[in-house]
Amino acid sequence: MAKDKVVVQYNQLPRPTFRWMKVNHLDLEPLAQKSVPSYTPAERHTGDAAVSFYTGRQVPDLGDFQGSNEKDLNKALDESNTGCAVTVGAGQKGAVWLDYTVSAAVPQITGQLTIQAGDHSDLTVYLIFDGDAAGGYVNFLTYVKTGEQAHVKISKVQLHGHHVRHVEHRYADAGKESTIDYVSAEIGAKAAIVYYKTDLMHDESNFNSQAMYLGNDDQIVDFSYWVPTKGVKTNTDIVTTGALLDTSKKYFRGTIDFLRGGKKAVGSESDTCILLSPNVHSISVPLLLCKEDDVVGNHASSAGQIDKDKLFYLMSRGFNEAGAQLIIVESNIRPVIDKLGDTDLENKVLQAVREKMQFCYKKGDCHAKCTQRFPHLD
Amino acid sequence: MSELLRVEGLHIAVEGKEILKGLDLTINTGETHVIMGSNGAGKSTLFNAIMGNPKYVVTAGKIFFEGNDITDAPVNERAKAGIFMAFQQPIAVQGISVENFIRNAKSTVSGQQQRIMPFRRKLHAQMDQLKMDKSYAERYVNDGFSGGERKKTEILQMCMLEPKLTMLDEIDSGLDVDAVRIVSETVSQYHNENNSILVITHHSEILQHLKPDFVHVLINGRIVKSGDASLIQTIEANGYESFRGQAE
Amino acid sequence: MADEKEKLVEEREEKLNAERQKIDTFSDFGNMYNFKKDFNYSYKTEAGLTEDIVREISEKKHEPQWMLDFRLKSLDIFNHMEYPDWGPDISELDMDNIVTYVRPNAQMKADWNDVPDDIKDTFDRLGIPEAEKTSLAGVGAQYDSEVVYHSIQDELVRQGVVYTDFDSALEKYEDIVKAHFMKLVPPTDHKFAALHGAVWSGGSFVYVPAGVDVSIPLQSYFRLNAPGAGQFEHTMIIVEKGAKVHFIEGCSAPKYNVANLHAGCVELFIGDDATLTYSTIENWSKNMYNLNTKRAIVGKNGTINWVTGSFGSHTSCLYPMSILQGEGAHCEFTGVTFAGKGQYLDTGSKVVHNAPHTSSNINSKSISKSGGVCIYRGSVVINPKAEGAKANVSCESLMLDEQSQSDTIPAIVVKNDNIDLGHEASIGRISDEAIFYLMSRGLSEDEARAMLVRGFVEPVSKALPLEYAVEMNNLINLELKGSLK
Repeated sequence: MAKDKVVVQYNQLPRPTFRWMKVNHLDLEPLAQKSVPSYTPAERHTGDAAVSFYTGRQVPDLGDFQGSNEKDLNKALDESNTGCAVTVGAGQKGAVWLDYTVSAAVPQITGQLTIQAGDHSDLTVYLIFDGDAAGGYVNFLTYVKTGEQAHVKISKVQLHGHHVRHVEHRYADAGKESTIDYVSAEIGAKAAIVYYKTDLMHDESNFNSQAMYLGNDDQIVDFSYWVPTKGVKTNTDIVTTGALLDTSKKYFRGTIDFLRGGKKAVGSESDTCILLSPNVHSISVPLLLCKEDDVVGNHASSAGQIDKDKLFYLMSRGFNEAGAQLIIVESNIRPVIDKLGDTDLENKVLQAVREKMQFCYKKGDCHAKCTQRFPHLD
Repeated sequence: MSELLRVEGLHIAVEGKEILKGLDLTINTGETHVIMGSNGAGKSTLFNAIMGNPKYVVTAGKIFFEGNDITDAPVNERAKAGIFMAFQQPIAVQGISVENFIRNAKSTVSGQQQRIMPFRRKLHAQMDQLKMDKSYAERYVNDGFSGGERKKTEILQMCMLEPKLTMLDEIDSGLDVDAVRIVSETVSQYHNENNSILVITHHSEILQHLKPDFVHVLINGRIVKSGDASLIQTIEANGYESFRGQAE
Repeated sequence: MADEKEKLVEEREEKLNAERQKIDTFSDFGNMYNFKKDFNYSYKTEAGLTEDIVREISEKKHEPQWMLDFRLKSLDIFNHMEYPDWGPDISELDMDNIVTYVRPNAQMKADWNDVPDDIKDTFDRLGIPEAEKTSLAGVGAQYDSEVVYHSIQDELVRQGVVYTDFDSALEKYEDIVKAHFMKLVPPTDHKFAALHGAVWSGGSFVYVPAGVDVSIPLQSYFRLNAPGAGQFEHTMIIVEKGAKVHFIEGCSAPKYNVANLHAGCVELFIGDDATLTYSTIENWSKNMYNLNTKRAIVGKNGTINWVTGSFGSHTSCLYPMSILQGEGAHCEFTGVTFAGKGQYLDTGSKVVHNAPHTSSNINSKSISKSGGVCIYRGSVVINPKAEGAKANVSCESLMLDEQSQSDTIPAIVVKNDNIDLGHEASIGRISDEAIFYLMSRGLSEDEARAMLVRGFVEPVSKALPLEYAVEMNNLINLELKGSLK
């Protein structure tokens, strides 16, 4: 990149390392911001969940949360064109589906989602991002706060078309003995950039994140996690798994930050990447920061081609090579997809995966109905 | 026959949960005792409590060894006094060879610096008896060992450390038929009128070699029935259910 | 006969064992490295860094013009370069107070008896002449800025092996030095590489001709005695095709209340099918800023083995780098870092895979206690040409108490698909289960902990020659003393 070229930095690593590796953040060209009309996503909900839409700012003070990029974060805070508040009261249970669609009419979405869950509540939010438009830009802030012994799950499916830049800043503050579960499928967009910070400041709070991706063409998928743990007996589990095709790139920056006093914390992060084309880039920066001795922290990352022995085994059962490859890629990402918890969404993701792997040629609206759990084999 | 171990009204809690609820047991020198009971009854808890695992908290009762109250003694003092436990799941210790480990332990337990060559000769002889390859002496303790190899290494430690009381916690689990025979022969060869054996097992096979003097049935944190070896057949025939009524 | 042989084996092992145990009772061991000599010197520069000082150093050393030009160019780069924006805080290091060049009151000698008494006494106390007699093929000893002693076995000289101080090398092998000097670590690499280029002095030069196997190790020992001084030695090792050598470097210094700086540079050129083992036992005093740069380039089917034990210094930044340039080149890194009170040790390993079927294996262990900070910072880059490359990284960190800190900051960049990469890291303390297991065999809690720590670093001890393994063991016992709960 030429020196005088203007770049925007996303997903800064909380503890930077060697500059020459160019892994401390992601550099992208700035994208023109358009003025857009206010927008309301398609919505439905069940149970006790209360949903309201608003304009302006309802997200409370975020402390030192920097987001994926400070400018984008401030824009999402102050100039949002779509705000949504989801709440469940103490002891209540509910689910919400929100579908944000980029279109020629609304090419850019600058949004806020505020999720508040009371004590002993149980809430699932299904977050769908789709659609495509030239100059598409999604700049989205999600804020989660839970009371004690609450459970909040966000199942996210991102299926944008190839012109969209998708940036999500997600901050969560888990209450005592609460659990925050993220299940994410990042399939679409030209660049999918997520920056998730979860504070485990309270005792026995838990954070689980499982994300899958499948990159193709010149896509960029950039995951950034930062989990400071200060409560006693917290649990952190971050799993990222996927595959890269063509000239796509994946960045994984995971930071589990064991702060002093967070005794008996357990944290693990893993990053698995299957490399399917010679020109893909896989970048992994899994940090463990530790100021407390009474913890168990682990991380593992691996990258490589499809296991030849597995391929041979499957082909000996009659699958052709493409079919066998798909099965292996799927076996890696299915555990995440299956956790989305909504059959319709799971099928959409599977269909998109197979399209990318060029296995299902029936592009169109059939994937909503597709329940085929195994590939059609020639 | 003199008293070796006496457990009096022992209550044990693990992470706040009471597992043993008033257990009494006396073992004299030269005897072999077996503890039987269903999973979760508290068998391993008893062993860990006798060995002095700090995770197992004595909430009431006392443990005496050779007449001395060891209820509050740290684990290594108990080891020096002559108590040995063969762990159900022995820990791997990276970077320390089996030989160095046992020689160090022997020096500490016996209070006598072990000279390298005589110790090695004895170790190798014991390994022969256990049909262990000598290369295991050079390997890191339990590191990458199979279940069976770990169990044999526990017995090897017993032979070398020569404890007065040996507690075998499911030493036969994960062993094939031949290994069970080798291990139980080694233990019965080691056993004499000067030491005692306490066994936890789910299988009667090992007991054919060890010939227990007493059998205890442990249910819900208490010994509900004690008897001679004939009790084993009763258990094999009727299971533990028939003893449950006696637990209350 | 057999009995006698057995007796000998036993005697040897018992002696070693006794040596290992002796240290537990040897309370004065901590002072072994920390003795000061009167500060005598024949010449030293003013503190700080100016063009005049750089010219002065070059002139005193009667260097060729190209070297002076190189120094001045490096100084210019130093003056214009930013300090790194990552890593440890080095704001307390004030370059204006560092004396860059201290010539000891001695000429380079090839016989210990010709070395001035106070300097010889220093190396005697460090056990260098003794080690030379028993286990080394060549020895170099640097005191402050210059090498005061150098020797090599005649047999190696006959085979064409060169082992000499860097000034002599510049004089005798100017072409080779000019072709290689700071080519692997250019002054533009980072600020302290530029500093090194400007004020370097001392160091060793090793040349091993094709096919020669130097079976006994060579050792260089670096001692910094002058308070407030910097040591900037340059080490260059060229191992030609099929040759093999083991080089050991040791470093220490007495503790002063002012900051000392070590910004050495190590450049290793490993030819096709050649093997170099580079071992370091570093025990700088705890007022030292150790900002050292080490780099190796490895040819076809060549191997670089790094073995490092980092115990000393106030602040360290040290990431030996291996550039695997030839097909099938291999790198093995085995390192242990032990940070105690007041220490901030940022260490690790860098590997760049530039050719097909290259492989690397990084095994790093760190221990932190009494508020010490250990950072593992590493990088693995697999470039598009490195098809069939294999890389494996394992980092284990042990925290001995709750005041300390241990961070793992690895970065992995993969740019081709035909590779096999595995990376694992773990942080934690000694498990209660392991302590219980060992104590159930009669060991006290302290013994159990010490044994587990020793076991933890065993992969490094095993990779070192016996004498150095014992020294490292001693350093660990020293660090553990009184720190165990």
